[in-house]
Amino acid sequence: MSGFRLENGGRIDRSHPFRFTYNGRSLSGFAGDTLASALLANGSGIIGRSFKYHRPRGIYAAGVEDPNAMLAVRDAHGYEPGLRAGQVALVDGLEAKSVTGWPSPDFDLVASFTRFAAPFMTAGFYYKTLKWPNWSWYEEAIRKAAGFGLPDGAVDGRLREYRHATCDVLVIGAGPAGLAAVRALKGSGRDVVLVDHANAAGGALRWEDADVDGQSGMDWADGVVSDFTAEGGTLLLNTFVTGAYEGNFFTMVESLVDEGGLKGERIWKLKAEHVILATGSVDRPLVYQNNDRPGTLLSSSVRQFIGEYGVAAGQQLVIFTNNDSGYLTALKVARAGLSAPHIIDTRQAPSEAHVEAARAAGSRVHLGAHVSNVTGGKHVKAVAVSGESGQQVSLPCDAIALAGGSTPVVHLAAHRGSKPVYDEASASFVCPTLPRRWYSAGAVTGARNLAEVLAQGHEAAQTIANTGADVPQSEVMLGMGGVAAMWQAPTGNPKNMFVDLQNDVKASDIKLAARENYVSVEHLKRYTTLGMGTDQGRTSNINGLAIMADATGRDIGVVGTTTFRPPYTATRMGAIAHHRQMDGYAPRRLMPAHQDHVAHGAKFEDFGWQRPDWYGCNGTDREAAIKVEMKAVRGAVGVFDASPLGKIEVAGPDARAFINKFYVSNLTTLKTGRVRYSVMCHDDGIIFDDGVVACIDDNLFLAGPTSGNAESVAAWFERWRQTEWPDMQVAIAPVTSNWAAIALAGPKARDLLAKLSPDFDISKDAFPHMHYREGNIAGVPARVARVSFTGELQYEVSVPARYGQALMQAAMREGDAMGAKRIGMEAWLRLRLEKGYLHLGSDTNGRTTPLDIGMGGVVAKKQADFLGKRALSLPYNASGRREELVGLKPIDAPIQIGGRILADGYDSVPCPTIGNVTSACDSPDAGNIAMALIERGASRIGERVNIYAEGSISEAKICVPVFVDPKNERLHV
Amino acid sequence: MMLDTISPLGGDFGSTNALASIPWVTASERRDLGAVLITCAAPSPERIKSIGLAIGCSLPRSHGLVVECDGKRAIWLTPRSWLVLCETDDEARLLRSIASNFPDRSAHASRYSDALCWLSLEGAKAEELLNQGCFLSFSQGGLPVGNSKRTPVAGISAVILREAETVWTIGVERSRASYFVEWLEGLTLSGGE
Repeated sequence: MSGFRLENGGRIDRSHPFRFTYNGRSLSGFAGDTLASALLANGSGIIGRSFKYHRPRGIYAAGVEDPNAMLAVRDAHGYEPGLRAGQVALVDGLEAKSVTGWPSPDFDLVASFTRFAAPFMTAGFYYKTLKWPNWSWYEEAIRKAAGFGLPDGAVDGRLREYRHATCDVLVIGAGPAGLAAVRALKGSGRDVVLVDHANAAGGALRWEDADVDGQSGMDWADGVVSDFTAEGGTLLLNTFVTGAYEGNFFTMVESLVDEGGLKGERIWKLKAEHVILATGSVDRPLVYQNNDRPGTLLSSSVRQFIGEYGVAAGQQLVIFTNNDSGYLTALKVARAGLSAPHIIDTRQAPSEAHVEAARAAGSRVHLGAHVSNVTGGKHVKAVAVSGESGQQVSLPCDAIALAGGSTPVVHLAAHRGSKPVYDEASASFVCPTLPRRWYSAGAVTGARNLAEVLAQGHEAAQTIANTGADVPQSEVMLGMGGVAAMWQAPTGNPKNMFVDLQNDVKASDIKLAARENYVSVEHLKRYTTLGMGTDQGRTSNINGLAIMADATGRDIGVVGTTTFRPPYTATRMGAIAHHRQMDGYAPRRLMPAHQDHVAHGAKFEDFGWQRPDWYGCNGTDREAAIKVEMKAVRGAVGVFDASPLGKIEVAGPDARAFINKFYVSNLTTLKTGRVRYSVMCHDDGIIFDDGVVACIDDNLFLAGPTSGNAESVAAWFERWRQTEWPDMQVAIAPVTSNWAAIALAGPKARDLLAKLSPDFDISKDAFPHMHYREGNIAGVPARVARVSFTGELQYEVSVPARYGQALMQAAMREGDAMGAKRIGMEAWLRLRLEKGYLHLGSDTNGRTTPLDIGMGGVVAKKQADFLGKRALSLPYNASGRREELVGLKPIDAPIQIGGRILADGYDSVPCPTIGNVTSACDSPDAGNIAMALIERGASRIGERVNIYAEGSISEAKICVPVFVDPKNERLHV
Repeated sequence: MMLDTISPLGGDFGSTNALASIPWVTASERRDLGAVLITCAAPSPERIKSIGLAIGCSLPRSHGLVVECDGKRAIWLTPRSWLVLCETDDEARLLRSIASNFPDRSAHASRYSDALCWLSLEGAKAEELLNQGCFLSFSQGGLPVGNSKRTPVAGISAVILREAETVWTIGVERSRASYFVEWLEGLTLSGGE
């Protein structure tokens, strides 16, 4: 027991008491408390065990900088396995549990083991020791011992929202510097967003003793905020700016808190014209023996707990400082009516005003001294103080406040690439060079005194918009003063001096790393885990860097900092992921006749679009239905929804020359009303897409890329037009979604098309294979291409999408007497396999060129240049050892898709592979058939190969990849 | 034979359809809007002016601008493409006009009435709803009344017109219309509850 609630003071609402539980114990707090302040007020000393050595740990700080107070928290809206107590607003009924220590943090059995094992568990212990015989033998036990909480598996009820916003000025931090900035922007007409992670603006003014413009700091802050919001400024409280990105783009997480707890979170994505970085600083601890004992807190947090929450850290405090801010804590404690604390100051000659004030308040000041040890196992009981003469005294206490200087919160600037530079004056890393249109103000610059902080905020704003406002005037009894850095106590055992409390990294670990040559700051981090974990080294990094600098004889600035990466603070995965599931991840696309497909029992597959895989109306199971659908196409007519097929109009005087640059076939000879199939390549000669191109007139072409590539082919056209051929007179109009397309395929396709009342001649001679017509079908505008993916007589009829469903229904109604069936994707793909037509993505891979699929003759004939032409002439692509697309017929067992083609002479695995099966199916007419990419396949027709698939080896015969109608008679009926 | 029409969200073309399921705002599907996509192979000022004369509505020359005249609205999409909103029955006439005035296809008009689903959102909360899926702003580079913007919303491409202070017309690709409406239906406004 140490902390307790003061009779008076704080900004909490004492008229609204709350009950909450901690490890099952019922405790009390007030509205306005955080979980950390409430636990401290209830005297909860040990709130967890350390990560590695299971040393007892207590509340260490009031906010985001606390490395210790990670707890599992359940409120009315959900459960979180690891939250920092200082970041949790207390609500009535909240349940908190420690996540480390077994069976409890107070009595931890693991600690009894680590107490003896600790000397052996130095930095790198896991890497050096637990790799024999296998890390997995130890992993579960170690992870269990390390703690940090378990998810409960339930879906929480929290709200998740997204917001996008832009603003003229983003002010990050609503402390005195940020408020001075928004005050100075008043009347500027700028759209300003002010963000702070706390639940109220004011920053340190909420608890420090300071006056601004003749008012208390808090009243001044309230006034500035009131004016700001009245003018239309946006104030986001409970909001962390978690990342800064290129183009002044920021991510932020806003906590939405109500009486039940964390109701939800809102992810903000914000773009700002100007940025004022007023993120302040966090207190830095001091490094000495047993500096981690519960009852040890950061000095500014002691002031904050008193000033904001009316909570004392202990009855008898000792302050250990190397700067003047420690004296402010002493005065704050004395004014709260507590025993005047001892002040142990490492400096011989601090500010006389501070010393006098502290002494006048009853404190005893020990100059040129340091804490050399702490007694008390589970809680601080006394400190050993060593003077420069070597004499040592013991001071009884139940709490220690550490004031080791300040660490500016430069993370966001560093996210943008600003290099933190060591500043001797403030003994801290600051970012003197900022991104364009960024300005920094306040403690983040290393400034320590209020007047300077306010002036910087004001000046930053005036740089953006000179409103002529006056600078706020501050009045403080005593300032923060200067710092004389002391990175490690000169006496005491480094093996018990903790630098990183969250990861149990000690001064001795850093020195060990130096001895083992892990002297790069990035190596130091990985080897010792310094600065890892949820606090990301906010309180530990600079001390660790300084100790490394000392151990290697370098300046701190030379050692440098590790890389700062978003997020600034732990962010729930749920908040980030939110809607990125199902449709939110990949919005589904529905075809115009979707409802008709549903009505006929379509079983959908996502092919980028929701497309019927097969129809329930055609059979009770998949294989039966597919068989019915295939037979309909081969024997009568099938109706297939081809709406997703790409449609890109390429128009202009240079349209022909332009489109000819993309396809490997010669399109300069394509006549009006004709259609040609071809493939297009990337510049490396690899097939990118295939499809047909129709010539509508000399200056207008309709490209038909594959469904999945419709958008990327349009972008591909546009990219080349803009970057390489900007002078070509051509325009590109992607119109895929404007048209619904229904394919009629089968020997009765012409009869069915005739039933749909085309107003143009569709006879065999008037409308041959690979021709294109425009006119009206069923009284509506239509584009009809006689092309085939099935090997049958086939028409692809496109009408404006609004008519798509009605056309589908009309085709089925009119075709009923002919035996027409709806055709799903699987039957469609099997039909094309029977014909040996390529299916992009199945029969091609990231290495397949047109030469590999039998289009070598087409490529050779084309004189004009096209994308990929040069690459196709290179030796690698022209090599005779490439994989080529061929057909396969089984000898002894059905062929499976994905089967490996074994190298010649092998009949068992492992062995070299010379190809793979790209497509395979059971055809009602042709039996089991397949296509494969096989090395030199085209020259091996008739040879046998062994195929390995799913544990067994079968034999197949290489053949020409055409299994029905090799003479193309059905195409031309 | 006559084929029935069906809009992206179901129902006939040529009317508006209230979408009561979208909270916070008054929403409807604008089935009465037709559209033509105009592309220009060589967009000289003279040619753009000629296109305007051909369709009876001058084409805007810079980002975000919308020109309204004679029952049509021309929306700038890119330096060489425009979306012209019109009555659904007017689509064919515009196509013919461009084809006859530019036989070399240096300007080209494509059918586009069926490509997009147009939604109208009206209400003070509309901007806040849309901001859950995209950047919209009154600030520099923002979207003043009478302007339009082509931008991703909720992960899909959309054309947004600001008709009035709190009235928005949004065009999304037809195949994604159902998704977009469901996205709107699922939005919450914690500040407004």
